[in-house]
Amino acid sequence: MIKLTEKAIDVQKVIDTASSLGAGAVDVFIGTVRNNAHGKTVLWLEYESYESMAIAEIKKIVDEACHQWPLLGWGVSHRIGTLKPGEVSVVVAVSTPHRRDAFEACQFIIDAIKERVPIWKKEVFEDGEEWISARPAASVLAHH
Amino acid sequence: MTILQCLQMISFADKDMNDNFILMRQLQLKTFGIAREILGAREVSLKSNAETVGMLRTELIHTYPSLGGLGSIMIAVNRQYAQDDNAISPDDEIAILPPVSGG
Repeated sequence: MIKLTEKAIDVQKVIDTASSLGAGAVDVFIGTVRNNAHGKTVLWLEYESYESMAIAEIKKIVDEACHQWPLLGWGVSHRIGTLKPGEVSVVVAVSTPHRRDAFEACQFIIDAIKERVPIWKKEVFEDGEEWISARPAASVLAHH
Repeated sequence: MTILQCLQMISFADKDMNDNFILMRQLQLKTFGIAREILGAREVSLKSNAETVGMLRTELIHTYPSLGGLGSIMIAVNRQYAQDDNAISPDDEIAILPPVSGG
């Protein structure tokens, strides 16, 4: 399951999608909106995506994870649109027979999403707004 | 593609300073994030000489200098990150991607 959604993410649904009777571990990463950045109060975040490419890139990342760890199930859901502090922006869930693989695979997937999936966010403050620039693009091409 | 369609896609620009004719093509660009704000629309139609991703990036930074200030602009061709030597044509889905910041 890969989903980009403008509605609140159903965290339990992502976990259920990832779960498997053969698994001894389910690892879940939940990303949330911080209420502060650079010492300023964040009012809300605006997320936008290049949806078709974002879904394709997430699929590639999950495929890479499946080659590296024995995933029995997985789910990724990313929120798009306007999010207020405290809201869930992204959920990654994976299940594996043993916990170490689940921790590692989940971390790999969320790190790769932040690094190369075409999704952008803008922080809106009381006195202005700012697009967040993440990693330099050179690290993106290194994976292709 | 018919010859007529080819002719419709290819347009000749005005003479440049050296009196040479330059073959220009109309490229359709999708833009996102701060690149969308700099180019002024989600979809931009651009008359361009660029035959490759690298040439397009150079043209864009020349036309929109603030793009150059972003450090790293990636260009995707048909929903794949493209290298500078990647050829481009008016049929391609070309997207201008500022540094990503999902999560």
